[in-house]
Amino acid sequence: MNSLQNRANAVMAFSISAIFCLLGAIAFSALIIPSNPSGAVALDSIKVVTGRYDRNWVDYKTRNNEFANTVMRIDADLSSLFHWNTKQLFVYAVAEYSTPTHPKNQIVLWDTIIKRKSAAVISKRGLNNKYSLIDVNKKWTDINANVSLHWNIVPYVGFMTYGHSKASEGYAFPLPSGIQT
Amino acid sequence: MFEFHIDFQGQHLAEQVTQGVISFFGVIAFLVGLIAQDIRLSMYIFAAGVVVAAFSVIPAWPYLRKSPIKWLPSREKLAAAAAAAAASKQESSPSDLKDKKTA
Repeated sequence: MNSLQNRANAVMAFSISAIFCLLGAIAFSALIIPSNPSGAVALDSIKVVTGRYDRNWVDYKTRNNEFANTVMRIDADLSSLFHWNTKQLFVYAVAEYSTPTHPKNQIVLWDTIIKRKSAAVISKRGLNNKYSLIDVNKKWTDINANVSLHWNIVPYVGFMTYGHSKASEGYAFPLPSGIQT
Repeated sequence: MFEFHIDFQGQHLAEQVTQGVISFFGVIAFLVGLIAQDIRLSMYIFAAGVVVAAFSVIPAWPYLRKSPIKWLPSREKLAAAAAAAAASKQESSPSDLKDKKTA
């Protein structure tokens, strides 16, 4: 600590150690801050159509993959998830169902990023699914799926934490009723 | 010219001041940020602490140079002093020199 450079180095080195302790304390404090988020997703209608899985396929004839087109209703109040270590929320609606070949399937239907507490109250009607709802078995016969709202808290520093709402009632998928254009 | 070096007591004090100021501002930053639920405020308070610590110890302030080391006189100076004493011995009486040495 006798010379100018030596003292400058000591101050900077200790401040780095101290800021890591501060950031660690912030990261752990975020885990114990209480919150009471609520959310619900409901499907107003489900329509199953057949189409090609991939538009880039050279085979234009086999429209044998079943797509489920849904209309969703989402209500959520996630504002209590915004504490001092929340950078943004990633919110997504998930359909979950089981088939004889695959016991657990989860498909994201819709998602959004919330960056402010003032935008954390969601009330959406008539949402179509953003991502294709297709099953690995290509058919939607005898499927009973429930939907739920999931969220992921993206922190400034620390741990990614996840949560989800209670699953809705099961929705039975109808038979195909058209061809996707 | 500017003085950049500080004494040993000053170095000990500078280290204590650095760690004390930065730790204190770190704790305050955490508590204020937690109460205000504002991580940006927390970071600004911590940054202010680093600036205060840097300002108080990086320049060689007088409070860090209060107890400079008192070195013994150099051999050259001692030799010069002895030569001067020997020169004065020839002029003055031996009793005078004796008094000087015992003093």
